[in-house]
Amino acid sequence: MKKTIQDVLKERILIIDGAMGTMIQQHKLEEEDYRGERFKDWHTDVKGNNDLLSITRPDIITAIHKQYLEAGADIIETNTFSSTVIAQADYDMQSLAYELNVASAQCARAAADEYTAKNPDKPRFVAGAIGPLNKTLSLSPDVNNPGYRAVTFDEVAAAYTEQIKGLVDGGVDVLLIETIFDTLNAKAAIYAIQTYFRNEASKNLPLGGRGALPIMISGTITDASGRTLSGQTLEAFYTSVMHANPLSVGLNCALGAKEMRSHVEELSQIAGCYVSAYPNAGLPNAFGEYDEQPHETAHIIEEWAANGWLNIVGGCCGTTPDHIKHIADEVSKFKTRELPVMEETL
Amino acid sequence: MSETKHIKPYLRLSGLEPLVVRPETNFVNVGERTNVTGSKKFARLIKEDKYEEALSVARQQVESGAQVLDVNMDDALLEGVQAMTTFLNLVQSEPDIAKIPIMIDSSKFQIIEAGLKCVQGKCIVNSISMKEGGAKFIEQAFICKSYGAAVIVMAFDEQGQADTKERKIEICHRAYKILVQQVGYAPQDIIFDPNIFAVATGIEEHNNYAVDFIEATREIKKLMPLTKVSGGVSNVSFSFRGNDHVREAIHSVFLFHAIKAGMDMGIVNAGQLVVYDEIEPKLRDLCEDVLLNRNNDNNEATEALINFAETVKAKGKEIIKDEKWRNEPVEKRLSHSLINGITDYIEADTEEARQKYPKPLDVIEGPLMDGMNIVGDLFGAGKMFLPQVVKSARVMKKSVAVLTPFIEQEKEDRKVAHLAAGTINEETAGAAKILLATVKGDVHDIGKNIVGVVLGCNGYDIIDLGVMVSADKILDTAEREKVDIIGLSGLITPSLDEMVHVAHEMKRRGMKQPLMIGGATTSRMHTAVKIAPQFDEGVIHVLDASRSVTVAGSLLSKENKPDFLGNIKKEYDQLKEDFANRKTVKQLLPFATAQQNGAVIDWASYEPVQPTFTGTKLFDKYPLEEIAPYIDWQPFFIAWEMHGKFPALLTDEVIGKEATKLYHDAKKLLKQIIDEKWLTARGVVGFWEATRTAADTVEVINNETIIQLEFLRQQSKKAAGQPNLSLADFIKQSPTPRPGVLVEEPAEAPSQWEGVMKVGFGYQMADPTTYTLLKQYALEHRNQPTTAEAVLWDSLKSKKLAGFKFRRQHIIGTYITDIVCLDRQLVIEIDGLIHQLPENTEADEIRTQWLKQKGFKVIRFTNEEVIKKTNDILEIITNELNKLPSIKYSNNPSFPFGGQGADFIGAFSVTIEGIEPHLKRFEEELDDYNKIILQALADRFAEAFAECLHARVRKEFWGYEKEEALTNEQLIKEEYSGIRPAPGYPACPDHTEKYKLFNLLGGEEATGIHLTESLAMYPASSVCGWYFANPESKYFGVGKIDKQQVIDYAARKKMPLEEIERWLRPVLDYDA
Repeated sequence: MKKTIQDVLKERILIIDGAMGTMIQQHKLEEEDYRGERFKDWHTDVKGNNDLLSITRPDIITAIHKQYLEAGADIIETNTFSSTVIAQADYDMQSLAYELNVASAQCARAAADEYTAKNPDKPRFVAGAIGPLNKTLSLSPDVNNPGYRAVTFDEVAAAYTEQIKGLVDGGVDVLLIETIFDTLNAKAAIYAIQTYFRNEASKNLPLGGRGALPIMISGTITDASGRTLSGQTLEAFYTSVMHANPLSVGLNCALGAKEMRSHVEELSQIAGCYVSAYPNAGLPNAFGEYDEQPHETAHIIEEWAANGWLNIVGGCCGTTPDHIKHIADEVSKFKTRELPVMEETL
Repeated sequence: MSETKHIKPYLRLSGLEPLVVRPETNFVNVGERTNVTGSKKFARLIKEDKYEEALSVARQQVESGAQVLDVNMDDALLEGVQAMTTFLNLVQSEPDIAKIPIMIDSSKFQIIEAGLKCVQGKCIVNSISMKEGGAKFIEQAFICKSYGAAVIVMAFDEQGQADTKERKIEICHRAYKILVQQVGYAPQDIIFDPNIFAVATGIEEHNNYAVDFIEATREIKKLMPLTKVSGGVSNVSFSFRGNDHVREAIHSVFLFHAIKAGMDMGIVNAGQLVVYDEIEPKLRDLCEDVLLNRNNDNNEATEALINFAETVKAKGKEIIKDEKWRNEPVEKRLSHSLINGITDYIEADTEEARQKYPKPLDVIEGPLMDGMNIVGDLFGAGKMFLPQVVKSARVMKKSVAVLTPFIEQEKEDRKVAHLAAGTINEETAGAAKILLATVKGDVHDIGKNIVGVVLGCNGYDIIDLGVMVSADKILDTAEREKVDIIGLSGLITPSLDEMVHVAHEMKRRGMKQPLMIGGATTSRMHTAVKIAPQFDEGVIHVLDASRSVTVAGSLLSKENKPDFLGNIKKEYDQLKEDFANRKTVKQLLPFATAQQNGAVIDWASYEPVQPTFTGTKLFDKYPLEEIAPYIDWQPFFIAWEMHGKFPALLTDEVIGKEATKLYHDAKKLLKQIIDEKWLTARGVVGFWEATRTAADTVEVINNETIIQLEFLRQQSKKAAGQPNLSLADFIKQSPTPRPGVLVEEPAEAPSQWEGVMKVGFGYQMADPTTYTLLKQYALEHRNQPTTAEAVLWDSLKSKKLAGFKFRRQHIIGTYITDIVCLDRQLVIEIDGLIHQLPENTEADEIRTQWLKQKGFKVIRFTNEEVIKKTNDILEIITNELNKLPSIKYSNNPSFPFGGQGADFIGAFSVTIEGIEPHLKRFEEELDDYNKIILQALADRFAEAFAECLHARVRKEFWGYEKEEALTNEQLIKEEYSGIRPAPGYPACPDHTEKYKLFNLLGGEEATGIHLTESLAMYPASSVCGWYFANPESKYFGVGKIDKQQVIDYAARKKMPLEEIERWLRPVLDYDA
């Protein structure tokens, strides 16, 4: 029987893939590539709706997944960062939210299964990516009205529920709530996941509904203050999402490995679950591009692994299969972080 | 690879910041005022849609120490879901509030869920129960869990609320099993509320309620050790409502026992809790009997407590204990609040009074002034102490703040009303105005603030101009505002001069207001001798805040004022006369004699310890919690005019009780300051190689530059064997000779001096042969001086003349000078008849020119002049010397001093930053009490930080006392080795040396300290000083010094005599 992600996490540091957007950019796609045949008459521009490519150019998305798998990724993320009714409203594609998730999950699933079949000793996993949304629950977009919210908890939870359903139906192994800059949005996602699986479990089917999938959580420390955009310290953030009983908690985006180091260290001390980290390829330069070279990123991350801080590691914005390969090579020398003992007495 | 980590099953909550409830947390305070059922004010604000203001209630809760914020919107008239949502969304936009976790409190589950949808942190739900059966309970628990909230479970089931111990335990245990096993709750996220019910209701079945709670708590914690226990404490004393004194005691005793049994958190008004130990023993025993249901057959304990409560009321004069005061008429309530410093009801009561009285001013003139008069009387009679008065003032200010808007509308009425009142200024028909200011250059204002509060309490209008106020601003304001009295404050010595200046200016402007003088360095003597003569309309030194009231009263009373000022004048004239007479008794040693009687230190056997580094080391954001243990509390109480030894004063018969209260309040604020990082501590420590180069001069090498530190020496007559100390005595003279000393051995000058010699004294001009000849010649002359030379040398040798060192028959180039002061490059030639011959005059001129080129000044006297007018000549020499700059070190660096065996000096500065916003907030809240505590604590922090760093310097950084192990008391008694005297203080009273100290430390940028023109340090809570490591070094006071020393000192510092006299005025033994 195929090893589960929990099995493999006990053995070694797992590699999660790098940036999807950076890779898509390299294809220099135009409006018509995004539209494909099906949306050629769509009433808004859709260029930039990367998630849509899972439907219109699944070949490209699948190829990118394979590049990362080839580079050594154990976990690949679905191309679903913005596949919610709320985020798709930018393209007036709310109605596609569920379908986008299913399509993206299937792309990733097929690619991962292909590589697992090639080498069953290195099973590959698909993480259903749940992004942060372009609307936040803790922050008012109107400075003159701090009590105002552009969206409600129930709306966010409903949007995530639809996404979760699509990801699960598409066959993902784990759900990854990532790039969390407002913890309350993440809590809505956790709420949606737990409620979804609780409903599934209570379904009056011969085998019950779908079994609950593990949850990975990855927050974003936005700057040197060491806090999330919504103002929480790292420990407060972790405390606020502990109830998800996550498989892993970690950090991604906003910071390069150099800037992320102290936060990863702190998290490795306080987290009762596995720890993940997938930083950007340094900080962007004046043109918004990432210059940090694969060996540079890998060199910083190597030390984290040597210190025993890591269970899952990879890259975010600006990273490429080459980054992932370098990271995978460097950390393979080190043991995975040991889970803390959760004591049962005070 | 790191070792295996262990994570404890603590209750973990979060706002923007985490809150971990550990066993040592003891008790978590839940702020209760943001509760519409508990706070009328909050309820009103919410109902009136004043959410912004309601936020301030929340903020105040956080500031007063709430660790969790309870929010409750259960009111029949409120749309609860909407109110909860609006308020919590607003809270999220206030980081000061949102930093602590929220307790979402409602009996309606939909309001709870609405709240959960607004908060990103991990909340507590208050509460759910099995009241409506297990199924509903499970459903609600699941929902709470999906939001990640900890949950309070009330001991309540279908049969009702649990009242006995057994029922409480049974219900809690049942709920626990459901939550953990069926819902999957983590045990540490479960908090039980086993119901606190009122005791002493007269119904015998209720008598055991407190015991039931406490014992149930004990059992619950034993059975389910990870869970927590909480409760609404005020329920227990419900039958004593109206008698806060007894209620607070009951709460305190109840918590004492319940916390011991395992209670973890509770909804309490932390500000109103009395300390268990402080409850009067009798009341405490009675409370214990009632709560623990002891000696309570037939309600005996209950009866006893009720009876006691009555007697408390009977002792009306004891001011604290009227249990029924809330039922009294509004005037009595206002007065009660004022006297007891209770702010809780003052706004409502003031509003009630305003509506009752025809005019808002009547409230001030009537009940408020009556109350404050009682406060003033009690204070005057020594029955109230300063902290209480300041609390009363806080109440008064809050009350007045309620009335002010109404008063503003009735300005016309105000005039009339004030005419009817006691304290009147007829010209302006308002309350008498007193202007207070800390003078220019000074930043200290704790004392001034206290005076302001005390006078404010006595009905005066206070105009407080703050700190660093120029004379012009003070006097312009006084004239514009037509103030009745001006009060000046200052802490550092230069402020004394500034006060003299202000007095002088008042006379020049022809002002009539009397002037009050106060502050730590001021004195009756200084006021009498220096300030009073400047101004004729009355200058009075006020020793402390409590006297300011009587002084102001006398000055403003038409009848008393002439007599009062007359008496003061008589007294001051006498003081002035005494002072003048005393001065004529000459007690000082001649400066030169004093210099010769310096400390004798056996330098030969002293091996200076080399510090671990030279240069400076910066400590930014030094942890306050490490500094706090070094706090010396005694000065804190002195700031509050509570004198005595700490901690003995806490149990003092007279002030002990109030001192203890103050101490507790201060400790509470201290904890908050530390926990919430209100203040930051910044310190710089530095060490440098140093050598003593003259009797009172120490040179410090800082990189390539040399800084000369100048010190002053005691001149008072000493008992035999006692030295006249100067701090310079404690620094070793460099073992490597200085170039000036090398003059006589130029041929052997080591090569390292080459660069120096080019700009030196020119002795390199002589080749070795010539030099040898010259040297022999010089020696002969030295042994056979002319009469004139002998006479003059007698007055110059051994640094007799103002400390200058002279040499005779000294070789410079190819010339032999008669007498030279190398220090100032002054050559003194004594001419016999032979010099007056023309050819010799010409030769002399060439020689003079040559010396001049080399930077020397030559003055000539004839033998006759020297012998007949020795004193005049000495004066000329002194004047010349003083005019000349001391150039020797600037262009003749003696670097390096000595390597092996060189001595060192250290310096430090510490400052406490960040106080301003908190002071401002307290000001806005009209809370002088906490403002003054905060200021005093910041000062204590600065001193403690200095103590803390000094200890580390001795043990680590300099490391000359590595094994030191002293207690805080020993530190306070200065039992350590080495000293840290500060410029401007007794051992080195010249403030201007601070410039050098701060330059060495890296200036304002590094130290974070700004020096004012009077050399006060800003922020005010700052300390600086020198470090001396020599075991013989000790603290001393320079005492009075004479003009000779001052002339010498001015010359050494290259400062005009008048200027240095101004800085040293307090230590001058003469009129300057």
